[in-house]
Amino acid sequence: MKLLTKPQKILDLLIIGAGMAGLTAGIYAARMKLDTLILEDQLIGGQIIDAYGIENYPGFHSIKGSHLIEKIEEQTLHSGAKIDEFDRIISVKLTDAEKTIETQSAIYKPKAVIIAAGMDRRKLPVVEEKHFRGKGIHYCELCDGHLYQGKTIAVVGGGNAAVDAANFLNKYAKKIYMIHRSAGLTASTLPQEKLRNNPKVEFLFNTNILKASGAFSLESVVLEDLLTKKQRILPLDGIFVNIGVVPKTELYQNDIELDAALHIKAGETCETNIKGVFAAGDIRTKLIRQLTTAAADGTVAALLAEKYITQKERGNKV
Amino acid sequence: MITVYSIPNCPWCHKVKKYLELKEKAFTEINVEEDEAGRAELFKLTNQLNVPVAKINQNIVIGFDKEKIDEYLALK
Repeated sequence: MKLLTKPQKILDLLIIGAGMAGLTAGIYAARMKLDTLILEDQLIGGQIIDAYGIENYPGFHSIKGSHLIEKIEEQTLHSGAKIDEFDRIISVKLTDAEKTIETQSAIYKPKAVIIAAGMDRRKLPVVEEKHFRGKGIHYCELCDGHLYQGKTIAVVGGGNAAVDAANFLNKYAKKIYMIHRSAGLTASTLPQEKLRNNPKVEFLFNTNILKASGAFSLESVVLEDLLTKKQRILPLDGIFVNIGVVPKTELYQNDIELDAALHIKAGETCETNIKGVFAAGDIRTKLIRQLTTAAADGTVAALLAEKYITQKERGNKV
Repeated sequence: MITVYSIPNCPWCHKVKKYLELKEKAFTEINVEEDEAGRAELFKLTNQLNVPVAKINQNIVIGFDKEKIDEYLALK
């Protein structure tokens, strides 16, 4: 750690990640008068930002992810929690006795930590991915969809995120291939029906992308039919990748126990193997990952973090 | 002079603008989804059309890159 010139900041609770779990934890913690800071180096809202219509979050028939998160962010700030979305964590040292989080601009020494960093999009597994990222291979349809007005594109994946992406990209593209390794889509019925009724969309199931090619930007991919093992070239202007997510746990792997899928090992109490460090939301080992369960985790983690801090300050054994 | 090339509803464009506002830097915004001349200008500058792009004086920042924005804002 570079501990020389940065200011050291002591606070009650540091929450890493401003998605549903982190923001909910922030609301609860600030309402309990904990000095609370939420750090987010990507986008406030996390994966919710890309959701076009959320219909299973209580209180709304249907709401865009970005609108829902605006409301929750506003509520979090109103509760008294602070959010810093322009600083980045460089290193983390978490022990029962002390928690140290170094960012680009400060060294934080919180009494308790909630890790709610969420998940990253899984990258397209071809060696050319880095070369074509942003030049034909994309992960943000809201940001890059406009590049494909009247073009031929593919959406890779078969879950809700992939189907939502294809339904959104329909307004730009002239042709959309849905490329998926499995035999069918796993997305919810309604958006799936909408996509299946779209004549612009062609489904390529049991299909894998082996290679991406192009002079400057993407021009084509090599597809493999997983049943027949036959390969063919498909000309494409762009690909939007929605093939799942991976937990953002790299920073914590030295201190925190992870499971085989790299989620933080924590049960319903959100407690990790380190006292005073909690894991909330999708990053935690759990069976169901929904907005509502992320909010529930944020609640539990904040309440137990407050209990931990109070007991520690009273000198009780935690 | 700062120009931000962006499109509506783009979360990373929003983040660039929010950061410039935090730094109290005035900027002109060009919506390249609607502004064809702006779109051509963006392509001429960067040889691509990805957004956000911030032009800080004569320096170009593609995407949200805080370190580069800070570096170019510090230049006179």
